[in-house]
Amino acid sequence: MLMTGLLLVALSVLALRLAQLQVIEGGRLHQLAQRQQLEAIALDPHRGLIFDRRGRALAVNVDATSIYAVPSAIADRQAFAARVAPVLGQGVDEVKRRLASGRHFAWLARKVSPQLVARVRALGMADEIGFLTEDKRAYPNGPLAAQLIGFAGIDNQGLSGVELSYEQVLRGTVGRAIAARDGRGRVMVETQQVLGTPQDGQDILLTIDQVIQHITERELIAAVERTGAKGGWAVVIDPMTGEILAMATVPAFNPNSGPDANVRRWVNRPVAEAQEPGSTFKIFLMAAALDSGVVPPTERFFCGGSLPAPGGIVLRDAGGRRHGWQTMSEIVKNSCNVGAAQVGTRLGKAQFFHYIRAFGFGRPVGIDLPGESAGIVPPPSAWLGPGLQTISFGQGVSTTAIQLLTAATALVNDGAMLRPFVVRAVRDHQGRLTDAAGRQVLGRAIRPDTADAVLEMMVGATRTGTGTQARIDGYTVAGKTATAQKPARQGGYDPDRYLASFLGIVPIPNPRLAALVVLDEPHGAYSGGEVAAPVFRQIVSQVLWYLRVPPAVQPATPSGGVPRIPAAAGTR
Amino acid sequence: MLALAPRSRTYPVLLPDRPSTEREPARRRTRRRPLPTIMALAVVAVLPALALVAQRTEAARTGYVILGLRQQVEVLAAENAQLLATTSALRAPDRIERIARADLGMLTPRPQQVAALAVPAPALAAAGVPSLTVWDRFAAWFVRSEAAAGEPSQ
Repeated sequence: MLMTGLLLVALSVLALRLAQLQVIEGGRLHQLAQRQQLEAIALDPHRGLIFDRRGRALAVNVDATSIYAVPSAIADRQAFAARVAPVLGQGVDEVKRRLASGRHFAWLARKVSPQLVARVRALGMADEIGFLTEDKRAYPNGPLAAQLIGFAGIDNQGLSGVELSYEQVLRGTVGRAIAARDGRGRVMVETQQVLGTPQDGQDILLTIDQVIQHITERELIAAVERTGAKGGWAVVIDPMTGEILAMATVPAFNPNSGPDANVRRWVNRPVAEAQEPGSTFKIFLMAAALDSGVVPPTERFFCGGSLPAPGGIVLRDAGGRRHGWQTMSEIVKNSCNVGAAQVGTRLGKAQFFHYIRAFGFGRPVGIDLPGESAGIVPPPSAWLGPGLQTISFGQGVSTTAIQLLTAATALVNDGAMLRPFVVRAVRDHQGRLTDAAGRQVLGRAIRPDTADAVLEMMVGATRTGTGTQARIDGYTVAGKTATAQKPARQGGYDPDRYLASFLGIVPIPNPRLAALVVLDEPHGAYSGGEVAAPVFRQIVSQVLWYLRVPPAVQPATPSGGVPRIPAAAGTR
Repeated sequence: MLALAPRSRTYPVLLPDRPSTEREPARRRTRRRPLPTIMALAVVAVLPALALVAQRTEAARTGYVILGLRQQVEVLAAENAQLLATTSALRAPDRIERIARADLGMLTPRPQQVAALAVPAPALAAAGVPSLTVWDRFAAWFVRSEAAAGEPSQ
């Protein structure tokens, strides 16, 4: 009986204590336990990948190890810093500064090489130093399309290019979970409560073709080296859809070294840099003159090599050349400034300004890249002195390369301009298409017959005019050269610094490519026809082969006979 | 003359208890020992607790298995990402061109070395395709009908 009683008493005491712990103080103790055992975990998403138009990877994620310190576990920070700093390649003060940034956690080095990780591990400071695996952005093609793709920062945030403009799509959503850790620091999965599921970033398919981009960059680099130019840029687009096939800027940088590169090289110059277009602007002048009906196509203008303009200025043609009586086609073919100035005068400020705006100059075209410049188109009231005449041949306004190409799409789309774009599709982690871009008409600038007439003028420029070096055997090329003087720092124009460019569309009819090549301050020969047109030919001829665009006529051989097909042994 | 029917009446009768064979004899009840009962009760109370502990242990063990599998997935995903980066770097056109030029001595063809060969449209007919029999025509018509049925309507 005694035993029974004792047992009952003991059980009663236990039951009462249990009730006290579970019922009376249960809530408070539960919270206390959660604070001690559970920890919030950020579930990081993987950043979306970037592919070219054929699914070739241009930006991927790889694992990288980061090193952190536990400042609360470090007894002597000076000694710790003195020991760790030489291994990390940092100063002692730098390490101490990092230690001061947190009580239990402080980054020492982010996303470092495996060799450095091994050297730090060899220090045997497991209590004071820890290692974390993180995603690191990698660009397997190195500098290919560096300015266009851009790069991501240390926290995988987009800092430039597509990485920046599509940050919301690529980044994904961070998830959160609460979980307990066991004595060895491992997450106890059965205790994990997911508060928000992480969502990986979506993949992006660009309109860029890796091979076309490579051809464009290779030829541009060669031209910059050959001409001694400060740099250059080139853009290749599909004029029937507005898709950018290649966009290159030289000199480039390696996005794998990201922020370490020269900041000036980050600039995507075809989009961000507005320059005076020079003579390529004449084709838009002619389009305006024809479309408005102010100047009939058969009208002739006399070029005596110079032309007195308002404000007491005398406009001259390059080299003082006298072209005599010319039609509008011949003005384009010979790139005659005097003739263009007369056409502009006939057109008038208001009409010309109307068409300049209709072609999209003076405002961003809306390309899906960051940092787009609107260019500069002053209002007609600010066209003082010979403003109307100089703007007629591309001096006094500033445009970007992408604006010129966008305006040129009107010439092959019955007067309708297409919005250029670089992202053709977005797909989720399972490969399902979630968004797609396509041909988007920005507006109609001119009538279809005007577009055809201007295109014909451009064909004449490459056939027998200033752009003959852009001719490609077997294909009809429409193009226009430009040699723009660069503004001098003290005002006016610098007689020694030029921007040589060529804008072309090929093949005519049924165009597949439009390209603009610009060389910045070439030395020696500096005209667009001499230095930029050959680069256009080199790029476009190879791209046409790559795209399997057959020539309209069989290319002529040096002997004039049928081309000899190389033997199989020679075509390896 | 009407006569009243005599009413029947029921009177309660207290009957003596019937001896029941199902009841435990009082003698046996007094002999029951409480300890086994308490032990049995304790076992009944403890058993669910033991089952709970076993379940929790199993859950923890499964949790560690899941954790291991997750780490395995992460390792494989990282390896896959590394391989993707490597293959992309190996396929870089710049690298391929460098090897083609430097190691294999290849050159970019000049325009005169590239020819587009026009394939004449009636080439198949010229190759001497035998004329179709009635059955061939019927089969072709049937296949075309099937194909037409599969086409989306315009």
